Amino acid sequence: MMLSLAILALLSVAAPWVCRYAGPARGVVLAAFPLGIGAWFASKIPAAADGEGIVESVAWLPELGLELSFRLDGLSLLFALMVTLIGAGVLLYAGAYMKGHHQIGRFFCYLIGFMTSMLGLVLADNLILLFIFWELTSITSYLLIGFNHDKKESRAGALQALMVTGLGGLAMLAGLVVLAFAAGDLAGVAGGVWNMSELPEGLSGHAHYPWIVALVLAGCLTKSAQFPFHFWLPSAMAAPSPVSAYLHSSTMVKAGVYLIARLHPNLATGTAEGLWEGLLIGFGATTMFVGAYLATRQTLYKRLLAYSTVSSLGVMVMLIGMGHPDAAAAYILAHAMFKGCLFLVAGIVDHEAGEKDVAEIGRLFRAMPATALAAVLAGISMAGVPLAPLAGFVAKEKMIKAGLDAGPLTALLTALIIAAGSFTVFIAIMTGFKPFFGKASREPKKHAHEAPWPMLAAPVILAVLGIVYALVPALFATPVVTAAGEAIKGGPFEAALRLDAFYYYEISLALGLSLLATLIGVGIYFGRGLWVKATSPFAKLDGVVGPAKMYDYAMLGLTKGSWAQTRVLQNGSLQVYIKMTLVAILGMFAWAIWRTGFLPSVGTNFERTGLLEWVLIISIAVSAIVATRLGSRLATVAVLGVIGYAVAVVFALYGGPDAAMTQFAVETLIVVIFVLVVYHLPRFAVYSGLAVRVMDLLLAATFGGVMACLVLAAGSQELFAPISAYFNEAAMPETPDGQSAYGRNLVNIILVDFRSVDTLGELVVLGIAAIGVYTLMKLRDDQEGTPVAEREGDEDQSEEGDA
Amino acid sequence: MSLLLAVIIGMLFASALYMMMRRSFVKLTIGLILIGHSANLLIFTCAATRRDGSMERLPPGLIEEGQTRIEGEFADPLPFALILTAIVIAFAITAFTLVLVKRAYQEVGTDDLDNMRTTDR
Amino acid sequence: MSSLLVLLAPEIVLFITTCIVMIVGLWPKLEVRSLAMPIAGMGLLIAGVLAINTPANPESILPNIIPYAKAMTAGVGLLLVLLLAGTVDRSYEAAVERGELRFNPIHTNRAEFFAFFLFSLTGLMLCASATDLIWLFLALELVSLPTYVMATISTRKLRSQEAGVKYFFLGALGAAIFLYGFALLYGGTGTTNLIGIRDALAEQAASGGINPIAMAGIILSLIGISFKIAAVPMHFYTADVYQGAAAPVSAMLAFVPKTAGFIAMMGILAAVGWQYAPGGETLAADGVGTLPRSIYVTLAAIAVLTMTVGNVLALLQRSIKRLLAYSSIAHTGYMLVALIAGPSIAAEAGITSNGLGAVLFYLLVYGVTNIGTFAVVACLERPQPDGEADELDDLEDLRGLCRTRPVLGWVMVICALGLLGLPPLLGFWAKFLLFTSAISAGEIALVVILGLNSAIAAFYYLKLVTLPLLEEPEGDAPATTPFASRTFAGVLSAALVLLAIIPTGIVDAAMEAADRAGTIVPANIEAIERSITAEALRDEPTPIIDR
Repeated sequence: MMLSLAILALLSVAAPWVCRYAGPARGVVLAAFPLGIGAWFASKIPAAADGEGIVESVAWLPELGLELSFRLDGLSLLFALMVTLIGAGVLLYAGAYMKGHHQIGRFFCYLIGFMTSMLGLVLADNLILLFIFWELTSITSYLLIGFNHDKKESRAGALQALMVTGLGGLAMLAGLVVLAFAAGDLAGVAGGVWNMSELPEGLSGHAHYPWIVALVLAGCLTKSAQFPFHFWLPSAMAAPSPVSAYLHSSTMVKAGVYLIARLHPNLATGTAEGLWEGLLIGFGATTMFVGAYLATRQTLYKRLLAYSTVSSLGVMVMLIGMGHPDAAAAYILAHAMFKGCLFLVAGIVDHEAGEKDVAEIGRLFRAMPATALAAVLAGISMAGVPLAPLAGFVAKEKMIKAGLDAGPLTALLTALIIAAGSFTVFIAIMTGFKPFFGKASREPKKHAHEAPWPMLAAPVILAVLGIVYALVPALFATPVVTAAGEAIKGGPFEAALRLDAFYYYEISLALGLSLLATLIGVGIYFGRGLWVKATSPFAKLDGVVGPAKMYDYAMLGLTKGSWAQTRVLQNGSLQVYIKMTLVAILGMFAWAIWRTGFLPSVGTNFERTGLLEWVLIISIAVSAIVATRLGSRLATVAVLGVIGYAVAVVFALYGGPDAAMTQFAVETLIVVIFVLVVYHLPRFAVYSGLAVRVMDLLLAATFGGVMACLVLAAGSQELFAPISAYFNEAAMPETPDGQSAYGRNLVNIILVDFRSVDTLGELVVLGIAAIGVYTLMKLRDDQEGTPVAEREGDEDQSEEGDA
Repeated sequence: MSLLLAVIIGMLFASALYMMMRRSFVKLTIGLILIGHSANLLIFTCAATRRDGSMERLPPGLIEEGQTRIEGEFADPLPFALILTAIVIAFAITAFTLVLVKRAYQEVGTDDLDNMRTTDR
Repeated sequence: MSSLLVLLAPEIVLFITTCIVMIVGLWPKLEVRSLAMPIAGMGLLIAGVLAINTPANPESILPNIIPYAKAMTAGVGLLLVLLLAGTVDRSYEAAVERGELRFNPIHTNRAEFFAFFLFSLTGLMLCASATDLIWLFLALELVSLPTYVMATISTRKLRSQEAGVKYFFLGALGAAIFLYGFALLYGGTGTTNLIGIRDALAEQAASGGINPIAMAGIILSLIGISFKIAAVPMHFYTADVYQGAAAPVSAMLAFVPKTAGFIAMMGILAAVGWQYAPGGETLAADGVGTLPRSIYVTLAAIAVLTMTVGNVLALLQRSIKRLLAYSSIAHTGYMLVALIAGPSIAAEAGITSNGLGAVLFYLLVYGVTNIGTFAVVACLERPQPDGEADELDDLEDLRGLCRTRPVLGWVMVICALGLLGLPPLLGFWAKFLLFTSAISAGEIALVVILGLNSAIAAFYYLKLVTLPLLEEPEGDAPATTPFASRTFAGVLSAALVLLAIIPTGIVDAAMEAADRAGTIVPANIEAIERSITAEALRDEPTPIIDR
């Protein structure tokens, strides 16, 4: 298995060279590899049907729970076959389809890169590995949708697809991690269980089960284009046809279905009312109906098919949720054949007749008979015409039977299935019949002719396989579906894919309903003008509140929000920044005080406050207010000096002569420097209006009040034994030769002995400030050539020594 | 005393913030200097206040000549060491601020912060 | 003392290097002056090697962080030196020397520049060694002070001047706020030593709850430090400053102060400990819990606001540097989630549940990847109306870059995808560890918000991918600087891809660095036992926390 991935990865890298040297044979050369790998997988069908899995594992990052562990069981095999064999057909097809494109090498590189990722996705057993491949498919899909990047719709579609699936993917990563940890809880494995094959029983009883389901499904449902996330898939039709056929019908969009099926045995609750099943049935049935309905209003070939693919994906999700793994597997297989075939046909019609709109074209049968044959077969299969020996019919009967067996939901689900079935019949006629046999309203744009054989091979083979599927199920359909069903169900299982009349008479009700759906579908085809008119009000509604519109609104909302925030908060004004910061901090504090119910208790007595203290306090208070009011720069400097000296005196009084001395020195220096610089500075101007100033004052006062309260509270708290006693002990030696700091000033010994690193750091900070000052001045000199006072710089550097 | 100091710290802080909200960026320098004083007083108050909220003048942590330790109560030296650090840093910052402001004023040609929005988009 | 010298060896080497660089920078001869860059690089290299071999420091609250944090600093620092040097043009320098051209700071080698840069890195390393609040304060200032100068002088444009003023004043406000916080924390615990604070807080918590003053101090410190990491509410400067400064300097601003801030926050939070009962302020019964409620809620609010504000603001940007600035805010928010989750205290938990390790790893990945994007900006230029070339800053200039300048274009694509966190790029592993650590701590709601935010981020990061990769070039291709940065950028992205495949070694180192941080110390165990006994006496059932 790992070998197959390695081969494909290398092929992807080598694709540009192959394209350059192989010329027209490039399709054949490139297709040979996936075909060979597909054949190898096909040889494993019998083993898988017997329930034997193949496991390969290499440790990669075991610490992160990541092993390169791969497992091939029935479910993986079903998808691996589709990825490789349809992939081979698509490569062959694309070799001719993309002929002459100037970046054909890059195209194949991306396409085979996607194939590698998708194959890895369905083979991976490790959750993280699965996620990595999952995201790789998103990226390669993005590159492929946007491949014709000169078109705006291509780029927009590519981005939309990546946004929607990427968002889901991230949610899914969270879900997978929660899942792994929850499984670890249950299994008693610390660090989580990361291999899907080792997931324990009983996850649905875990406390995080709802999270797991919601998050994992968010990824699966967006990837598999379930309503209301379906809108990205039609937009993705901007991709070249082979890409649409391969990624957006056969493989990538089924990744979500695959993961749902893969985790079904672990996450299912076993009842239809369970969270998992309920969500799957709900989303699946809605998508099935809405997708089919939306398709009926389309006329562009690929968009019709895209919406019908949405509907089919809904069917798959619904069937898994209803607990019918056989029906789901049978449908997945059948769908890959008929829808893949029709997409390729759409590409041929576009390529060889230059037409995209099925409403306009018709009568192409004569020009391209082989294509028409394939289209008709695929169309009949898709419509599930009763008793036609084609894959679609077999799968559809199983689906209707499942609907009839849905307990309390029978009536609703059956009605939805029949309605969706009718629409599907109509789509099948529009895509499989109308272009070739219907009435043309004008001549095709290009002279229509048959496609070359590489482009015909895949659609014709797929159409024919549909017959084989139904007529000789034992050849490949039954074993594959059985093996897949076993894996989905998580237990032994026997699939019945039969086409004998007796069997179907037994389920005549299902047959009858199927017939009914077919008739309605044909009816819509003939009355399609009327139908479009009748449904247009809904379409208008969809254009206003539909999911695609909601996506646009969400994007617009983000943009608007971004714009508003930029205007209000991020407007480049420093005062606004400062004010916003303060308001935010104040808000957090108000909240914290309210939460903790904490109010400071004031335990201060005034008797101990002497006259000197009062003088100091009042002078600081007055100066603080005056400093904010003065218009003169020199006076302000003087007032600042008063505050500084007063603070220094406070320190001196309360046992800190060292701090006081430093404060005196520094304050004097600041005043000197300020006086030196002050005439180079602008005069104090008052720019703000009165209202602004009052608001600022309020904000500042509130902040000051909060700080004061905090300080008071700090004063009333019990402190822990300060470590000062230790410094007292350690300052001087008890004995002349004892170990100690040998200092009499405790502050000094703290600075130079116990906290010397801090003191060094302090010096460095001072030094940096000095060099900073120097640099700022020098740079200016460099530019202006005028020697501006370098005195400040010098003084700083001399100060460095003192401190 | 600690009640008064608390009020003073609050007032200094309020004045500082008020100055920092001015549009004229020279005034921001004043704000920074005031914040520095306020912070120093805060450290001092946090350390010097006793459990009952009172505050006493205590002798500094100096060991007398001929003795190996201080007998009796003395002022906690650690906060003063902290304050010393803070004062010096504040000085460095202030000197730097002055030059930055001066230079910015010369380059930009205005001290009105509302005119400093070149990067604004 | 000698053990302290061993612990501080990298800082000492850097400091000496800085002095040499400054002396060399003052040399009159240009040839000698050009040696500044190789000397700076050598110094970083030696410091990094010394750092790796540093032993654990039992006196530190984060005992094992030094080797990883300092080696990371040296490594990313080396890249930044290369980037700074890469934009230097020898011929230009010579022309300036002869007085033919006006001096342009990004194009010529300035020794002060390297000196400031090394000072800042020294500060960052000191942050990792800090055992004490005073030390931490100094280290944080040491980190920031040089960056103010660097931002101001990095270009001669008006925008740099303005950016410098805004950056400096907000920075000073932030420093004041965390200094207030530290003072209150000291007031509430009676010590400035982080381990002492841890013991004091544990004792308080066991006897009725953490002192409200200490709590206010912690919250104020965290808010003040949020300036360094560019988190709400102190994020406002980011865009203006990143856009105002030259691209290599912006790249540095996005890494150095952020890392310092996160390491400081880790230290303070480790002193608090992640061992409180969820939703309360008391110790959890089994010692495995979360942060105390008030801190938890404050940080969670900051985290959510930070990532949302950053991502939403980034959406509309047309300037690459502003976009990267806002995204830098968002990344801070992501990392805060893991910081809230905390280290895995449970002994048997795997490394995927260690939030601190996740943050350390993320910082490295973010730093390196971000340098890649800024390197591209630094390498592109267009002549301006005034005749001098200026860096490109408009997203439109990236149009079709993969075709016109393939190396730079692909570097941009790879780095943008890495920042977005797409597997299997290195950024994915970083984000993955954030996810796992937060989920294993039970923070699923935060993880979901993180996921949603990453999706918003996809919207603008994809612009950085789509424009170079899918769009057609328009007009003239931008000129590249004639310098060595291009090669550097190419080598860097190749290294990133390689690392992405085998990140184990670094992840291990990051996890080891966070090991034993915030683990329960004996004092705490006693305290917890006491509180449990007290509860048992009150005959209340002990809550069992479901993690």
